[in-house]
Amino acid sequence: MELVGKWFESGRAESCEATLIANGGEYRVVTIHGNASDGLLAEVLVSDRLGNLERKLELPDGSLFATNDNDGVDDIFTGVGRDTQLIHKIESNWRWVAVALILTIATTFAFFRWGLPLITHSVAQALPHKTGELIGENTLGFLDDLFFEPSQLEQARQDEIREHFNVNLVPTHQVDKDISYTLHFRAWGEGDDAIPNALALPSGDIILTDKFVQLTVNQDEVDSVLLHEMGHVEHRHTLEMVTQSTFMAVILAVFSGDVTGAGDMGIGLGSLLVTTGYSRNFESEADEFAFEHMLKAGIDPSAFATIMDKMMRFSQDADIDENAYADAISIADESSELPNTTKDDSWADYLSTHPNTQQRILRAQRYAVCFREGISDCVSGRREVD
Amino acid sequence: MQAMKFNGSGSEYFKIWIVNILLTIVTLTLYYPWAKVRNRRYFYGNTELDNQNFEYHATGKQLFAGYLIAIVALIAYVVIQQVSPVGGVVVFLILFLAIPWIVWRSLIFNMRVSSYSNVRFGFAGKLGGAYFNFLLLPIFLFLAVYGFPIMAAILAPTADGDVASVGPMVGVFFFIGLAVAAYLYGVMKQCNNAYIINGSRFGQGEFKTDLKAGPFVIFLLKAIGLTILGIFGLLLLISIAAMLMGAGAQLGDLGAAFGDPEAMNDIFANSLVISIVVVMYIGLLFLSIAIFTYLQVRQREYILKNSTIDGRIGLASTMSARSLAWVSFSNLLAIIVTLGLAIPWASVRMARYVANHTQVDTSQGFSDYVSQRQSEQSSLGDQLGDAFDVDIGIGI
Repeated sequence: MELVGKWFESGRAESCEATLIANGGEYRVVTIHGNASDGLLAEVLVSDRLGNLERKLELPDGSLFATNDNDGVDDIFTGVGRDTQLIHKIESNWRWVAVALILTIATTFAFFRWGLPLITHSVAQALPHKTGELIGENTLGFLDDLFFEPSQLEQARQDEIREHFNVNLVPTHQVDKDISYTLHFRAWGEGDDAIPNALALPSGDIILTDKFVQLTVNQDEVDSVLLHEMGHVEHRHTLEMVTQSTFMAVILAVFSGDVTGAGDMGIGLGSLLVTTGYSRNFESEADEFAFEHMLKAGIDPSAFATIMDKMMRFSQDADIDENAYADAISIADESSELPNTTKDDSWADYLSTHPNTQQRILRAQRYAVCFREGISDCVSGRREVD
Repeated sequence: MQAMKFNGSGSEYFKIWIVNILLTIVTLTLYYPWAKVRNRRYFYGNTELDNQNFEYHATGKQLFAGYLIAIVALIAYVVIQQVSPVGGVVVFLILFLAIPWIVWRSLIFNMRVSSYSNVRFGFAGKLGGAYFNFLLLPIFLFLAVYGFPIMAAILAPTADGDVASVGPMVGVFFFIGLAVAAYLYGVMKQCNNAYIINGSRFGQGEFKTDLKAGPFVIFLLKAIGLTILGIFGLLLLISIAAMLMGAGAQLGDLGAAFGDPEAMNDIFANSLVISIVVVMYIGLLFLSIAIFTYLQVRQREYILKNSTIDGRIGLASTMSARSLAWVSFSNLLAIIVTLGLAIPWASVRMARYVANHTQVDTSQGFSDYVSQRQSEQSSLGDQLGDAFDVDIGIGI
């Protein structure tokens, strides 16, 4: 068998036309100047087949034979040395490529849809309590430096809320007994720019802003929000978000080497949409926690509806962009809403970090109906046995 | 002068690309080094000059150890950054100090595993030069960009609030800062490119370049001027759009007699905000591509024109900012519209554009060039640079 191509002396740029003749396990390269190289086929290093690229054969004496006759090379070297066209066989078959395409899309989708949440969830649940405390300490210091001022609330009012929280809420509603809850009061913004908010850190530190306390009119409203925050802590939402953003960062870093800048942007946008989806679930989960525990404790869930409504109205009237703050600290807060959200603005709904506040209020009112009718398990509608 | 050619095709590369991705996913990214080799080989091998092609010689096995170390380092870096801010700063500083070393090792490795017409490239730059170029100069530039405004801010309050005397002083500081920063940028570009090009070898042949800071400063100032113009243009466009929308909203008020006036207003207010955001986003994206392209094209043209191999083989770039911007922008659009499936097509199109607009003087041929003996180095620098997205910023 013969291959037509070019022959290079070892390491030299100059080439001349040549023919490689293979015969019984041996080869011979012939140029117009005569015999250039000969030896055993088994000692020739053949480059892997890739598309229509010229094939390079490194000959035992260091010289090089290059040819475009890919099929000829495969014919001669099949069974001699290693297989240099394994991947090429998959790449050159459109049916295999279609399978690869479908598998890639399916695994990518499945990974982001189910795999990643499952992994982050189990990692977040398995992390030791120390992690949450560490993050909590750092975050509170960070927030104090950047956003918060000392609370202006009367000491008596602070003590009253704290006392009630420590005596009535924590002992009855705490699920994970290793968490030590601490209540903090802080001022966030002044006058019309004051922000009514409640934040939960994974360490069990819960922060109430002065404006939030001022908006509440009764103990039930305070309790409903505190229970919601406890829900975030018990479900380890912050830890889950930190784990998830860590995974995202690693995945992005690993793959960004292989995609163009535009691909990066696509992944960034995708992760943003996925992330906001997660935090929507977190809010609903914390809401559920609060409603269930309110029913058990005999607190009317409509208190949650009234305080949410007040916070939303205050934020809209104050006309400030709380999303900026909320994004900056990326922990669960209550009152941020995209401006101008209308009832059926589904896009704004999805892009909002929180489920539409109106939906949350509606759900609170549904639980309030259960409360009035004495149903303890509002999901199944089971009536409490007297 | 003869232009390079690129012989790859979008559909052929698509098949290679998708199989690479699938195998990378299925092996939990362990296949990545082999995928990278196939990608590189495809692009090098299909680039042709004077009937000979380029070649990438690294093997997956060679890249694998470096890849594993890079992955461990990357995960450690991200985890530490997320958990402890202080640890994050420390790790960032370590990485910052390591970048010149990474760039240097990466240059040596990548040059040594590349060849054209059976002759290997090489890199002979020294590590000290890498620290000067990729650590010291960027720090100077950073100080110039932020140092003068900060100085102005510190000086301003000490002058007893006398606006008449403070105002001009702050202005003078601002312009001195801008001038120094622009000049330092020119020096940095000049030195970085000279370091890389003068250190490069083709066989025994030495790349040579003679660059000055001045042209880089001028390109930068023109780019800044274009940016300012572009932003004004965008603002004008948006105000026109807002005015048209405002007219629309008034029409809406008329129509509101039939429905709920508040809802109608809401709809128009919403669509106004959304359209402004969209126009702004697309406009800024287009503007940044255009400006970046302009800088790249001018710099590349200047660098190649003044570079040779051994003073006898000349180089040239025939790119135009307009055509490159069009290729970049339409590539981006195609990738977004196809959710990434057009990446192979876009990459091939870009490679073809770059090859077709790169010229080499081949009249004397390359027959005198011979590969030099050089030990193969580990790929750690290359893989770390890849993992941490260290961009060498070579203009070629």
